[in-house]
Amino acid sequence: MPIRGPPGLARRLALLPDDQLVGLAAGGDRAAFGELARRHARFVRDLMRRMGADAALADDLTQDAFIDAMRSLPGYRLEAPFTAWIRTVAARLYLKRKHKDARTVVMAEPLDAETPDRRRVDPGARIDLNAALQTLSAAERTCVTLCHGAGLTGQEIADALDVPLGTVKSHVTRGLEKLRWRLKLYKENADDA
Amino acid sequence: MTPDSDFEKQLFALYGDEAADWADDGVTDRVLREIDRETRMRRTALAAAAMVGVALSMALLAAFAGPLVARAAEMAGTPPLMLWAVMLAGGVSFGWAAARLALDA
Repeated sequence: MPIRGPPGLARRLALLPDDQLVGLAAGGDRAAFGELARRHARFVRDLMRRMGADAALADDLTQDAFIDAMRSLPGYRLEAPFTAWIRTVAARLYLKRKHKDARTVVMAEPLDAETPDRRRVDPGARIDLNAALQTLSAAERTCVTLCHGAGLTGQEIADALDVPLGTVKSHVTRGLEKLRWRLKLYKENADDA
Repeated sequence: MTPDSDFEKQLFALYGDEAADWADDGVTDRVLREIDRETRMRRTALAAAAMVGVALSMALLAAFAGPLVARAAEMAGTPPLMLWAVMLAGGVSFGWAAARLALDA
């Protein structure tokens, strides 16, 4: 079934929720899978970039994640939403492709506590996750994004990167602390406005 | 990793938002094109496998079961061509199913 079908078909698919599209796609409906890609490709690419991938790598990983997902659909169980599933598929690909770089980043940084970045955010500014992530170190950003953006467990990350679980946990804890502080600033700004 | 589940949920949701400072850069079209290509490849592989399967089984049948088919058609009172057509359809279905199983595995 071509993924660019008649316009009426595209409109009908656009109205369906993700879980119904996944059901159709698992039955071989490529147009339904195309609609899922249309909805989520951009977000998967953003996730890859937030992990530290450059634009070209993020494009490659996004493409590979959707092709992997399409091939795995017959075995997919609807226990988790599609968006959560595609996040983990993409994150595992990232870890596979960038294993060496990510491991170096995670292992190279010291684990001693740092003071959160206390720069003010602009009054009235909306929450900007990318700006908040910039206040994290590369290791913290990678671990927090893999764990809380892609939904991998600390153990999965540690196993994939071949680093101690404690190291991953420390980066996540410190990163979350900084993010919590930063996101609180946005909230206070919004309350003041 | 932290007991603050409200914050974690908020963070997970924030990761789902599109980043304002990065454009799509054509990634959606690229993924759609790749899905299209993969679908075409898969269909071609299925058709080729089915055709190979049919050709092989017909060759084997013709070589070894030709006289048997002719006798069975005579006993059933149907033209041998019809029996061959039924076997051809069976061969196509079998080849198709086998190829799908192989591609899904």
